[in-house]
Amino acid sequence: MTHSGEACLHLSSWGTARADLSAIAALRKSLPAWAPKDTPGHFLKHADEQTVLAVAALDAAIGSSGRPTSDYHDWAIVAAPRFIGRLAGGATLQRYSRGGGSAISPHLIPQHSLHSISGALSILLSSRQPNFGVGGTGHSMVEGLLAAHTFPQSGSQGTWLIATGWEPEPQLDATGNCCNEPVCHAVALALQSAQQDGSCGRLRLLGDYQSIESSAGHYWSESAAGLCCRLAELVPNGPATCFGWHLPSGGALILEATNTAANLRAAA
Amino acid sequence: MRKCPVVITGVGAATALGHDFTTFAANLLAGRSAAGAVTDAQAGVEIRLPFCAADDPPAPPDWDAQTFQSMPRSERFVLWCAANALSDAGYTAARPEVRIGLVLGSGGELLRRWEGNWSAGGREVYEGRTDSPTLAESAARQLKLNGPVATIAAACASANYAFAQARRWIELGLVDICLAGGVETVTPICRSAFNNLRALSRRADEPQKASRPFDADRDGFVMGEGAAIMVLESADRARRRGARTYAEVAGFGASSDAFHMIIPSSDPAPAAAAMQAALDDAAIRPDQVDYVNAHATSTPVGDKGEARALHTVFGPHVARVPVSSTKSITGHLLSAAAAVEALACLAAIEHQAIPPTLNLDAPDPECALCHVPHTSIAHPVNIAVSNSFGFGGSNTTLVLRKAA
Repeated sequence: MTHSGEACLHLSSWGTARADLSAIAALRKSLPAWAPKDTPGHFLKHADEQTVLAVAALDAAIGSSGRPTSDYHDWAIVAAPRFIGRLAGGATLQRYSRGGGSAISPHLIPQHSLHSISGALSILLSSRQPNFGVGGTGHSMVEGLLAAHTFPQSGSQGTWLIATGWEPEPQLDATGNCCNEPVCHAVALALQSAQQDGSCGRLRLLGDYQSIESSAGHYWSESAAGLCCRLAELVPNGPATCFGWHLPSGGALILEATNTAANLRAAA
Repeated sequence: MRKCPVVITGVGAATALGHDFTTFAANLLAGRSAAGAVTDAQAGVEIRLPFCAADDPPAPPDWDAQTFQSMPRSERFVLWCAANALSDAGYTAARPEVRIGLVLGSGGELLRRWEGNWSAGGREVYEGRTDSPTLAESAARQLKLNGPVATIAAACASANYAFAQARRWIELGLVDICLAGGVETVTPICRSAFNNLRALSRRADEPQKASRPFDADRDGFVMGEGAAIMVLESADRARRRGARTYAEVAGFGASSDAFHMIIPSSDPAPAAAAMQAALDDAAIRPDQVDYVNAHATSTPVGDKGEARALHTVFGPHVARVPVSSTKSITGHLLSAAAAVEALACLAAIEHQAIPPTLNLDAPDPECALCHVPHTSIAHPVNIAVSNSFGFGGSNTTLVLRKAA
């Protein structure tokens, strides 16, 4: 990679959420306080489990930012789920096998595809800035970070990167029912090109191999679930923790994050 | 004006109109509908729909045909298009010094993959494997690409985002050249899901009449399948190596409706904002646009909304800027729609002709535009605009400019 120099976005807030299947069922029934007043109460009824957790992580990040939700109306949204739609896909195949095409839910494509999380969040946030999904499988986290870092921010105040995934992945039996205890994780990162008061880290795109290797204390190649757990363990007001993702083409993305007092209040 | 224009120097296509640009452009401008009918039967339920099927692509030159045919269908579409685009741009197999990225618009590939695996007796959807690559990752590995790779999805706007991201990577110096485009292969469950959404035309008995964007008698869209992938690189680089240039990727704009997961907003402002942002990005005025390739899918709500947005952006010029929807010919390729419609714009630029909107017998009065019904027309095309909108309220516009 000959990309010279270093490009940096500031992390103005972050939030995480974790839930098992029963907790997700409960989360489906409640919308965040900042959702538009005319949002139907069943908005998340047909949503993918990863969408439900994405909303919870975004809620946590907005809460910890100390800023009104209206500040985020002009933010772009990039969502990076891992294997979104697998639970719905397993159930769909069973239904199709038994009932043919007429048994397929019309919600399958709109709610369980790679674009579904970002679309839902743009509606809840009333954001008219771009929204799209990225990745989809094991390298979603790095694809999401790279997309959020490099997508042009013109017109947007900032970019939300929401990464989601299961850990462990759900195991389905022959009837399409889940037969283990999977946990869904989500992390929401608020990224801006200009540094804000109360900034809690930064995301750097490095092309220089030496500067990457000299950065000590990195956790490398965390998935959304791993990053979610590590962030949740950060010591309040402690030093920044570094997370790194090598780009397949060389270079790396380095996320430095701290747990600010505001994050602490939100967690409480 | 951007500091470093990015241009298209190679194209690869696998569509219902043909598997190379020349054939695609000839069929498109001749207005040859690709629509037929397809019947899906399962558990005693038969669903018959109009559909634009693409033939399976052959193995690219120098590829082992047997190995190629053993790959999943969507992967074959991607590899055929990417290999041909690279070859068309003059990049042969020996290119270790060139950093090549890939951005692929592909929205439903996991559901498609799980269905294909299940249909063949597999259990991938039940097992929770975490090591399976995306189509883009797999193609990059097969093609020995050495740059970053991304899959991008904004439903039917996916490929326009792919072009924008690829252009950005080139501008940032992350890659020397970047492949960008979209792919869509359609499965029985996918067709059923859209059918149950009541988004599809029911005219299975006269499939070539089914896709009728902007027509008063439209009743839904016709699904299509295929892929288109292009090579993007800086104009400087293309000039240095004497490459053929199809067009400049001059502008991109995007917005969200923030309205509904499926239904497009009746407010034209968000779609108009995407169009205006793209024109601003390209530093052009509405009166400089020579052709609009509309998103218009042939649904009652969507076509009307786009017409209103075009009026908002183009004002009085809307009466003279030719608008057509090539989905009347190709069908709606969902994740690949924007890629194939960018290809249609390249055909318009190359042949200085506007492809038609088929079946536009009685234009909807609420879609009053400068239509090009039934047959293509000769027309100077220096700047073409391509709209692509998608589920989740995504609106995108791409501006392509004839290379200087």
